[in-house]
Amino acid sequence: MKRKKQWDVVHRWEGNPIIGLDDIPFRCSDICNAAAVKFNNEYILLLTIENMNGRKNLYMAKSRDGYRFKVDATPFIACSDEAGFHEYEKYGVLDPKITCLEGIYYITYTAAGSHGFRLALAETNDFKSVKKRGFISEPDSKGGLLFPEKINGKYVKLEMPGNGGRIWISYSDDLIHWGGYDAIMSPRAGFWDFHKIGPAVPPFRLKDGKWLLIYYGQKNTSAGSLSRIGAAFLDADDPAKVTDRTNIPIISPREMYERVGDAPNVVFSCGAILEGDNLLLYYGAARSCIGVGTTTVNEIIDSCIASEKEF
Amino acid sequence: MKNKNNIVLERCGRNPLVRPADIKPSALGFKVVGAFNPGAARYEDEIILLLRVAENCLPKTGKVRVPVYRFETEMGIPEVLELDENDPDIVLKDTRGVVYKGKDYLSSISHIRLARSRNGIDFTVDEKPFIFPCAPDEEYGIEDARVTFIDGRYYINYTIVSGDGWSTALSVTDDFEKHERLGIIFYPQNKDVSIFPEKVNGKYIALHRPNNAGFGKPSIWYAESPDLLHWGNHKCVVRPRENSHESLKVGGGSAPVKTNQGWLCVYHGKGDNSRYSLFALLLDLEKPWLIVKRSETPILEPEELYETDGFFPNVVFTNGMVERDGSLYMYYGAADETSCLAITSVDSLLSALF
Repeated sequence: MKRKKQWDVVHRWEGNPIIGLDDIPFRCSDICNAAAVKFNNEYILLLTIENMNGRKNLYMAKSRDGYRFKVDATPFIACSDEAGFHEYEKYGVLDPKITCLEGIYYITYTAAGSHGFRLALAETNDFKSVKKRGFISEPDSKGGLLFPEKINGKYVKLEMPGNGGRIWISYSDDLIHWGGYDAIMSPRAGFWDFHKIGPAVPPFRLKDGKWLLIYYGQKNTSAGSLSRIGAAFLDADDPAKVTDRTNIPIISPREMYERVGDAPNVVFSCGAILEGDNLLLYYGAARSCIGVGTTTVNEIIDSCIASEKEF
Repeated sequence: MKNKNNIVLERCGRNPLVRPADIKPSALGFKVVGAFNPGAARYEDEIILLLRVAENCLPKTGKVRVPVYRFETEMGIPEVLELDENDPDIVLKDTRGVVYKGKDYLSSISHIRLARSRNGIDFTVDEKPFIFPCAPDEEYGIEDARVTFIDGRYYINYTIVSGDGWSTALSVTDDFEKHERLGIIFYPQNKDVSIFPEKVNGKYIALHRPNNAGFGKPSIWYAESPDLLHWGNHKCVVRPRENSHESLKVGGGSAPVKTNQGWLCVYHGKGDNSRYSLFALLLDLEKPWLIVKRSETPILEPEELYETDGFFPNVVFTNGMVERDGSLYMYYGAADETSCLAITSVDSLLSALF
């Protein structure tokens, strides 16, 4: 793969953006972000697309190489009209994250309805049919995701409740009832993640047992906010313990397609694929297209944590 | 005496039963400004109130003084932060607090204090706090306790306040001497939690009030739990109606009372001009997420001077109800300052609904 010379820890693919409005087989307003998974040798993205009427739905895109995708014409997960769902997701479904857990592919997504934003759960085995399991948070909750394995016998989730800009952890025996709430990460005054943070990509278990969490951080400026992506490492047995955290973003909006769009100066991720030590990060850019970049776990550790002072 | 709803609900002639002046401050330099929104429980032959005691600091010329908690080894130590009023790092917000060097300080902080009575009217207030801030996620105080007696133990839920806003935490006690913290059960923004006194369909049940900022108005939600610690299956149940009493929001009261017609609840509505009044609500016995009936007009609204005038005027707010000698003792906070009592009965409240 050819790389552009650049400063970010994540190296953008030179063919970026990989999915723009022209790649969508129907008219739509914008493309926000995408969950990512590798399934049966195919790369699958679940895109949040805002339709012309203002509602968001989740559409599947598939690729053999991870770079050239074909987008479906109909939603994989749409706002439901069913009783019990409609009032909670009638304004849209967005920000999907895919977690393979005990052999099932769980999709967590944010549902927007009459009563605010809630985290919802769906599952699939084949990425052909999908079953909605219902809502797993009260309002308001955004960015929610599941860990890919039980830890100390419990399912674990992360989310940003109350639009409060902090990342909270909780635990469950059954994926339905949640408790043990604790705020584990907060914005850092003066840093790139000064004003708001939220979980981005379901954590990866690394070789040494620790968890790699990709998260997003927001800094407000007089000309609007800047959304960037960073990483944190969580303790192997107690994921409520943040052991390290990047002092710089791993990717920031720099390219024109990240700077200009429906929401300017935004890179925002919901999905990445870890193959060995290589991380393939898919990200929404300026709420108008999808980009991809690569990095390695070691690069994240080296460039961000080991050399704090150099930045 | 029957009120507008044709129900018997009488204010106690001795109201207010507890006033700030009855309370000993929890630290030197503190002043009690509120003893309100009491949770209530029957314990042995006593009625115990769990008062929300709000304290600010005694004023001093030329100084800005605010209460703070310093946290040490899982304990909170109440202290006075004293600043020179000309300190350039101070930004005065309003009467609710100051910002100093970028950090918020509230002018008053609450804790939970017990008051005990044999007749439900004459209360003796404990000298020391019962539940007080012990960690940074409680640094701005502990408010509005509600007690539910389940399987022989008293579960107490309360609002914890911090930079994150409001969450609801749970404690349990057997003796009202000490309590064991069980952690946060509803994350921010969430308060006004009422836990039912028994399981329904094999699950513990609670009403809660998330502060959905995105769409709609804050409403009362239903949730269920296998263990009182993990909650799920949240559903929106009671939405504010389009009237002057509920125009801003609604929130649950004390633990619901089981009747043969359904679960009887008293909730509050925050209406025009931030006026709080109380309503009766009946939820289905087997499916408590379904409303059977809801009173059209308030069963209690601010009318007496101690309700219309005070720290925050025009508030009646209940989070403590106990049954005693066939009557229902509804304790309530008045004007965010004092604790009061209204006596009614289950039949009276049911008659307000049908």
